[in-house]
Amino acid sequence: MHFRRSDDGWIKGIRLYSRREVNFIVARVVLACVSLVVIGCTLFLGGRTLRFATRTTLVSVTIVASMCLAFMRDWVEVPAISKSDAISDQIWSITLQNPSQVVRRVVPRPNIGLAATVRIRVSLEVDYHGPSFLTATVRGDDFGRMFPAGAQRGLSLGHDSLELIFDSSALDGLDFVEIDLRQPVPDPALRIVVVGQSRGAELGENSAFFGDGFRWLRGVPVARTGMIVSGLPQIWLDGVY
Amino acid sequence: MSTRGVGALLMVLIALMAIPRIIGPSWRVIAMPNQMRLIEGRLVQWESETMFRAMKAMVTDLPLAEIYPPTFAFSTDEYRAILPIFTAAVFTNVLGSFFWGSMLADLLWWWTGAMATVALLSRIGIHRGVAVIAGVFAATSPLGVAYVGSGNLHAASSLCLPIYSLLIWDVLVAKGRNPVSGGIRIGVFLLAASLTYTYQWVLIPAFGLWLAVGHRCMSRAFALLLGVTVFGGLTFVVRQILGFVGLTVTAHINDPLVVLFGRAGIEDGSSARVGVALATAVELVKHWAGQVPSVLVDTMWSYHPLMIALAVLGFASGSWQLRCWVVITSLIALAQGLIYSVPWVTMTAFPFVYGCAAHGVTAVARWGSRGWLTGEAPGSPLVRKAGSAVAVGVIIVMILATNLDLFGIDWYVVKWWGFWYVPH
Repeated sequence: MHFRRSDDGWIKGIRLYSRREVNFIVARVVLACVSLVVIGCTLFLGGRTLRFATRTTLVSVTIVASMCLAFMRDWVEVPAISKSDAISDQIWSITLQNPSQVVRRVVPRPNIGLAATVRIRVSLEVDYHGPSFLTATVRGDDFGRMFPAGAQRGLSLGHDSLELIFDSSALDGLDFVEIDLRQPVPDPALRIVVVGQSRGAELGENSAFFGDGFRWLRGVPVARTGMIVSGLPQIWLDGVY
Repeated sequence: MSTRGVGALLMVLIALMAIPRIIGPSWRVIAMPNQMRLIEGRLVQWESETMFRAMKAMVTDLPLAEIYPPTFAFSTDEYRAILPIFTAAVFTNVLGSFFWGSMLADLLWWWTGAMATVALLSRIGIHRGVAVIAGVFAATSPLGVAYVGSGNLHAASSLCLPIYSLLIWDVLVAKGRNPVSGGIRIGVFLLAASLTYTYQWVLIPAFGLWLAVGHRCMSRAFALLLGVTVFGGLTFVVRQILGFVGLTVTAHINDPLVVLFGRAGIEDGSSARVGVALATAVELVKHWAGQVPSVLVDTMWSYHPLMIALAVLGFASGSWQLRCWVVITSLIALAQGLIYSVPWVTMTAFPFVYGCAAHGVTAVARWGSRGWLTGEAPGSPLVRKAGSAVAVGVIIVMILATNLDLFGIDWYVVKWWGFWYVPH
């Protein structure tokens, strides 16, 4: 009987593995076996360091655990690693809904050594390729639009963060730097990541503000509720070397 | 105190240190909020992506090409943490959670490392009670505390040094052991060390130097040399096997050799560049020599100045073997720190520094109790009780010194992460 494998690897209820998948199964077994053999040998060769009973228990547990690895995989759900989550109160993202809204981050002047230029970095939730952009104002001076990380230096470092490089002399005489970000063209796809706590920040809860066009509010909006809470937008300043 | 009692004590201490940093903000969140990612509703540091990727490779049925696309090769960062990753994968299977699997793996290795610290120090002639105090310091050390909750399995890696030191120590000092058998054992232990962290780079010179001042050094030297050879051979075999199944190990940016070459200006590690670097060796030595004071200051803050003060105080009352070990490993830590001055590297001598600090605790307790009870005889029950009370007080102060973030005071967290810290 001749079988032809369908594109998704299934035919008449029988799972057939591609060569790449077979390679991977071998790789997985090898990874587990290398680990198991090294741990097992270490425990057995431990000599008087480990009592026999302890050794036997540990080796038994290791073997049972390895059997779990080999045969009980399917129920483990593979989680996504993301930069934020709209329903999280620990890390979320915000977008500026009209040109009058502003996110302000106040950071200590970084120690940039001999670097002649510094950069503002902004972490975005996901890659952004749309028509909108962010503009940055430092100590009241408009520095213009931000670019995908590395673009000003001829590098391609992805589109999930923006940066703006400028002369370090702009920071002369400052202990703290106010960075204001605006979004002239509203686009909900352009989202700034926010961490929902301000511990460790030198100015504590005074490290971030939100301007709604009429007033400054201390904190940042929560994506889930729209309430203003204490948090730190992922906006920072460092030297370019 | 019985071994079980010590184990329980250290387990409770580690739980007290870990749980608030797992369910609340970890040190990474406090010091580096810009580096955080989200997994299973929990904040982890971005480097944990590498560890979770390798865990996926062990746990799931995802195709290899999906986990390791061409731009993300199996790296030395994963290779050197295979054993903690394997442990985390096992726990993930049991718990069904990647986050909690990695947390449990961290705690298991952390606890084992603290227990091994007690055993190792006992082996080298330290009083059991003093060794337990050192174990308490290891259990509450920033080496574990700074990483727990971050998901990058660094707590597991950082605490493994005493485990392998203990195993190799027992092989080298065992009476009547065949040096060939000892060498093979040492080779396996070094391989395990290299698959848990990169401590083989420390263990080989440390044991080599220690042999120079030890007894019956010839057969031990042979065993160690054979162990290094076996380690090299096993490493070659393991890498060939991994490469054969499509997991060729490629140098990660944080690989020790890459860092060393980078610091030395040898960007690609080629022989021509090595030649250039050798030609400028004098300049490099001068450069590094100039950095010694700052690395020493970094080291002091890594442990905490109070801990260093206690260690200096206790140095004199330690056994000659402890003094020998603390000097050798501190020199190695200094050399490493000159290349890569991060706290977990500058704390490479931690089992022995904590051993000296534990001696310092007893010294302070002795002096303190005598000061309070001037009319009492030195060995009287009252003086002994007062001494115990002082010792417990000093230990609590030392634990609090590096763990004030539990009470919302974060300056030490920021100080500890100083090398990577971006003011925010």
